[in-house]
Amino acid sequence: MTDFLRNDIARFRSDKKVSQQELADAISVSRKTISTVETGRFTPSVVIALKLANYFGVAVEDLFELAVKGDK
Amino acid sequence: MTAQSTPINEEILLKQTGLLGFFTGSIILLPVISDILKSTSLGGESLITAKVLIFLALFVGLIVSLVKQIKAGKKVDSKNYWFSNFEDELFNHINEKAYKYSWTMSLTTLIVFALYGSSITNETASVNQVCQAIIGVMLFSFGLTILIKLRGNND
Repeated sequence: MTDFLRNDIARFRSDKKVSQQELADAISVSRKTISTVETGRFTPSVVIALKLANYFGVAVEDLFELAVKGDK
Repeated sequence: MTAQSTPINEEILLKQTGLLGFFTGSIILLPVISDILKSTSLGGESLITAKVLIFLALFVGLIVSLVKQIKAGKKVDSKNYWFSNFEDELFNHINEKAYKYSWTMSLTTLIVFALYGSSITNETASVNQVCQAIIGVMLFSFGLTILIKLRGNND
């Protein structure tokens, strides 16, 4: 079984009504980084995870959770 | 004073580096592929014309991407530029993946030449030809990986 990182960035972003570009600018990364992290194609470093959590004012665990492939 | 790297400047630099690798690798591989085709039924007058046309197109691409790459290089931190580092995590990841694929493809080419070198070229391939093929594959796969990964993450 393979572990993967599930995230809620898209939901937090839409709640806060910010675009991928605005979020990317706020944490000094590229829009592509945000896009690939959101879709799970790229696993970010702890630094980016903390920056995202800080931006949304939540804990890292609220944004990311470890899941097993096959889980819904 | 060194330039401040921004994600947009780094993206342009990575794309141009990918294009530069692709065009340079293709130009280096062109005579190798042509030599292989010469020994088959595909060789002939049309092959020479196609080779010249492809070379010209690749050469123009190479010059354009080289100029753009140097220009983009001036807009990022010079240390990062020369050491091939990117501040943006995704671009650094793509760059490292490209190095990984390039190494694997070069090794595969070396193994193919080591095992079947003489049967591919009809005669024993010279050291120059083998080096040319490996450098070509190395640059081509490096550039192509960057372009595919950048395109794949374009949504």
